[in-house]
Amino acid sequence: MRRRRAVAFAIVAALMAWAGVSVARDSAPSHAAKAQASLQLGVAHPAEHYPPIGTKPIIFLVLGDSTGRTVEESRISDSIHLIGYNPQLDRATILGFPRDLWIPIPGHGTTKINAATQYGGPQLMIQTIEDLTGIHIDYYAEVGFTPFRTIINDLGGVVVNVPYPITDSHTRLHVKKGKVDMSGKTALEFSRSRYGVPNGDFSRSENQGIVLLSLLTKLHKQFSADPRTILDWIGAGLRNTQNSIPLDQLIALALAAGQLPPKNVNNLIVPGSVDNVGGISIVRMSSTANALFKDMAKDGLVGKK
Amino acid sequence: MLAAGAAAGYFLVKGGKGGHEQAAGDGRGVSNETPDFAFEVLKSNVIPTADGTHVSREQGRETAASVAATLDDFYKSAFLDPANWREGTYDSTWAFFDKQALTDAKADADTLTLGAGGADYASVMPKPSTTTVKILVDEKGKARTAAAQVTFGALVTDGSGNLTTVASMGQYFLNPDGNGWTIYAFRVQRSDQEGDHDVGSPPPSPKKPKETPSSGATP
Repeated sequence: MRRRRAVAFAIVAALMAWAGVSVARDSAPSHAAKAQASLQLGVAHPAEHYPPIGTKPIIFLVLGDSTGRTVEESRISDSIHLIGYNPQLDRATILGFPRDLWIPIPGHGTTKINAATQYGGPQLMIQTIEDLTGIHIDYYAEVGFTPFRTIINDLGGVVVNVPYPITDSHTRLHVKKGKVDMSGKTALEFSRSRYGVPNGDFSRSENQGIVLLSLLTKLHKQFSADPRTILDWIGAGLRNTQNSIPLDQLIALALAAGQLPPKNVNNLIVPGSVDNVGGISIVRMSSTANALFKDMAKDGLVGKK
Repeated sequence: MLAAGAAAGYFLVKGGKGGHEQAAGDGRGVSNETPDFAFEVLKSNVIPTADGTHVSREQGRETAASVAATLDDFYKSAFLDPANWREGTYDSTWAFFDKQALTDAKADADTLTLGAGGADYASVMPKPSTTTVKILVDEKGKARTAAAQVTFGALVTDGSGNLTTVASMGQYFLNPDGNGWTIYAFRVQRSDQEGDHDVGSPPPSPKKPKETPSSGATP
């Protein structure tokens, strides 16, 4: 069992898991048995193939856990994201769930969504979100506090475009607006901060998505220079997360993720409003969320840009 | 286990798929033999997928050597074997690709092989070529997949004595397949130049660079 401590979210596993084949060609043009060309002065077109992953949308659940001090203590998912990828459209959606979202958890009444993992592990969280949204989840990835920092550090940090200045005494984060080269520690603080941000839990969830997108940007850049770097990402991800993705599929997905332009990804939060139940701060889901879930269930995406 | 597998793989791929046996000359002054060729492995890097996995440097090197050996044979088949380039057919080359990659590989035959038109060539000789290899290993240290960056060069001489340098550069992803390796993904470019050139180094700058101070100071 790996340690699961504190808050984080499964960055690399998600990135390795959320895209499809944009370049791989399932049905290449008919070819002749003989090669078609002789010597070609100058640079010829590149030959390129990556393993196909099919045409169906793929949905991943990415969990970042906050746990107690020991491995055995139950964990609470403080970062919860669905990532949908549509291979045919070569687009993806990141949908964040505020951790205080007040919803029914099968067998446990209505409570905060982040308790589902504590009650029944990732499987119960999957069931909870599938029941809530009607979206079928294909894979999950789960990461803890320390492993999250390790992943970011193993990958050499990540440049994040911070949307506003943040000073948060709880996480001890102090960053200016604009591009910030973050270590694992800073990226974690940025992902956890909800006191130094405009909209509390909503901003925090959105910022977690921003970190995901920042990592995708880095992956895309590295992949363009040398596709082999994908193995470094897979290694870092597998060493530091638990996930349900078979290795062959993970490699195919990672190769696809490396080709996905970050501009083809939108980052959204389940809409809601802050409320109070028995003195506990919660988030009530907006009725407009159902249309959003329905949209994502259809093709893995929210909106088409 | 890794070392044994790698060694066995090396042995098998050396004598395995894709390799035509050496043949004598055809009596027209043109060689029918496939020249010797091997990539120089510049670097190998083992990437563990679980904490605490130990793979010795030697094991990593052996696995990288077995990957390189497969690529040696692949490039012999695709660029150096006269039985293939003379006819412009590369059936033995396609055996290096897995089923899913095969269709795209064949469609890109003009980039991945020497191509057609070899009937006029007198010889194709390899130039010094290099590779670097990354190997992903599981919790037991067993290689699960590998990725190699290659810089390959060959000098083509036609019947009139004209020289052309053929360069093939890119990345191949390979999976263990029995005792050898099979290519399942690739991104490769082909670049040919008239004359005899080194491969893998940037083309000469058209302008003479400005003189820089020799103090080593940087701004």
